[in-house]
Formats: sequence, structure tokens, C-alpha cells
Amino acid sequence: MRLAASILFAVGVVVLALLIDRVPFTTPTPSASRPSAVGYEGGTLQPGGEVDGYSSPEARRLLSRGPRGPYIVIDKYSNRLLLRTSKAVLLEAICSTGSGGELVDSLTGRRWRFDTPIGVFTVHTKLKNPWWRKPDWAFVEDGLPVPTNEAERLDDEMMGDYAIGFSDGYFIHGTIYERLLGKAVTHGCVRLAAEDLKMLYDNVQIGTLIYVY
Amino acid sequence: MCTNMSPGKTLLSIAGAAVVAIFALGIAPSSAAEDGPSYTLRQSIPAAEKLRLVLDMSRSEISLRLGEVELRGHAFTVTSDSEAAAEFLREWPQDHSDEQIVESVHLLSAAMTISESELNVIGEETALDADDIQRFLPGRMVLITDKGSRIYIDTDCPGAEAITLERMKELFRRIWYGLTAGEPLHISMAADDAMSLYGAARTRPTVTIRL
Repeated sequence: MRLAASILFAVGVVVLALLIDRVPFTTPTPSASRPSAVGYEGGTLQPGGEVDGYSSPEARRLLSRGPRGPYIVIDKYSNRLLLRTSKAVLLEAICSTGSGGELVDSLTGRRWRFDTPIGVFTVHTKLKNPWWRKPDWAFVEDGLPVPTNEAERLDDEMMGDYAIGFSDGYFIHGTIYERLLGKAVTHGCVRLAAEDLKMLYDNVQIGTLIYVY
Repeated sequence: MCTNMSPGKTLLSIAGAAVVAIFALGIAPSSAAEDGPSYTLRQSIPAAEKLRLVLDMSRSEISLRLGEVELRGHAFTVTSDSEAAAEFLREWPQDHSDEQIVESVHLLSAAMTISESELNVIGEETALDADDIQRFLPGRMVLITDKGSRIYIDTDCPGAEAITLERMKELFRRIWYGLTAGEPLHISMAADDAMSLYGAARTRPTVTIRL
């Protein structure tokens, strides 16, 4: 009885927290620097189960529902992002999507694949002034030891002014490498120029559909 | 993969404790984490939700659709002479609601889109080699359907910079001789649009023609 009550309490608190903040379950608490929001870009560990962005029950539901207003299209082949309705294109922007590259940690054997998932998703998070919480691969990629101090992972510049979350935490966000826009060079997230990102941020809502192909 | 959070909220620490409790009880849902699911590069799209290419001849637009949702539209110009275009449309099989499937797409020529120095910068920052970096725009390509219909697409790539892909040309020649299908359709479009189409066509979408 006591165990059941604890579970109910825990689930209730988490659901409440998600409703308020959209806080994912596994994100660690940041340092005392108190950034307004934290994300990290790209990279999934290999090997793992395939994720089918089109045939999962949720994707099928979204496909059958269809967009009821503006929706986002991400074209990985030409690195373009569109905000559009069924009648008109509201924004066509050059973006950068996942490189498809693979990183292997020679010390531990861990492998990461840097690709943007295809499928149909919804916007589940909108963040202003996001901080980047560097994942392990960011250090492995640079040949640096993975820090044990959480504060050493935080970066307040890399993600630009806004971040729009979709899929299992992938983001559309800004970049300090605008000259690379149009190229498939990211670790899985979708990068946009600052102006385009603001326009997109201002015109999408939680629940806006995102089609990635 | 990214995760996010908005610290500074009063419930966060309580939520964190709850998460720990849930994980300890082994009932945590799968969620965004570094060791989350992996994704297959350029995975194929399940047949039930395949991309569709719709050539609207009256609007001169190829639209890429997922179900009934239009993802992108690309303007094109028919460059076949009118008699040849009419012949192509007459020969387009009318069974199965005139739908065909793109069986293959061949790049016949291409143009480099970024300089070697830019490639080097990208290479240094991403640890990718040049071959891994998208750097070509299609100059000319052909879509071949499962019924043998051919749609040639010429783009506005600068001619002087166009690179003819001899290997592809040879492959194309063999395909050409192996085919018994009739008149092809020739169209042209912007290179950026063709780039998008080139990628999407490789997922073997269905093709429908609207008159």
C-alpha cells in the first residue's frame, strides 16, 4: 500500500513537472551557474534498436491526424527547413542536419551515430537562451577526458538564442557556425541561422507537426 | 540527440527525486538519454507511408507528399517537345490509378557546390572527409520507374562547372540499351530543387501524374 502510494506520488510529481517545464526524465541537474535552459546536441549510441519515425503508433496517429495549421518540413537531402501550411510556404531556410558520421571512443569502444531521425514528430519543447550540456561524445571527439564535474559540460553559446525540441530530445537550434549552413555537418540536431530561428520560434507551438525526410 | 531542462523551478528537485524513485522501481519510461535508441542512416520508409511524387502537368510542379500532406513543391518546365511529351503521357500506364514506383535514380552529371578550402574547414571541424560531405548538386539525372518510364531532369547548374560522372554515364548507357520503354519525359528545374528531389527519389517513392 505504502509502495503504491509512493509510486503514485512520484508519477504525479513528474507529470506535473513535465506539464510545467517539459523536463525530460534523465537530465541531470545543472551547476550553480543556473542557465535558463540546457540541451545537448546529437549523437546516439550504437548499436541499438532501430527507430522507425513513420510506423510507430504515435507517428501513425500523427500521420492520420495531419496538420491543422502551420507545420515544419525538414529536407535532409538539400538541408532546407520549411515552415508552411497546406496552401503556402511561410519560411524556407537553409539549415544543417546530421552528418551521418560515426564516432568511436577508442578507450571504451562506445560508438555514436550522428544522424537526424526521419519521421513525423511534434514540437514538444520551446526554450529561450538554451545552454548546451556537452555529452560524452563532445569530449571524445576533441580527444579530451570526459569531465566528472557537471559544470564543465555547460556552454551558453553553442545553441544560439532558441531551441525547439522534437523526437527523443532532438532540437532545432541556432549555431555559431552559420557558414556551414546548407551542409550535413551536425551531430543530429537541426541548425538554423539566428533570424530564421527566431521567425520559426515565434510561429510554432507545442504540438506543431514536424516532418523529416 | 538532445535533452533539455529548465532549472531553477521549485519542483525540479522533487521531480529529480521522483525520477530516481521511478528508475529504482524499474518503471521508468524510455526517454532521451545518451544511451537511448540508435537511428539507422537513411533508413527506408515503410511502404504504407511512402513518399509520393506528384507531377502536376497543368501547374508545372512536382510535389513531394507524405499521405495527403504536401512536404515540398518544386517548379519545373517541360523541355520535351510537345509531341514527345504527349507521347510520354499516352504511354504512362493507366493501371493501378496510374501510380508507378521510382525504381532507380541516376545522377548523370553534377556540379561541386563548395570550394576545396571550404571543404577543408568543414573537415577540420567535423572530422569528416570530403567524400562524406555533401558537395554536389545534380546537373542532370534520370528517374526510372518500375514500369520502365523515364523522367530526365536537367538543372540550372552552371555548365562550366558541371562534372560528368563517367561511371554513371556508363551505367546509364547500359540501362538505356536494356530498356524497351518508349518516349521519356524531359523537364528542367532549379539545382537546389533537383538536389532535394534526387535525395527523395532514392527512397523509391511512388509517382503519379496529374494532367
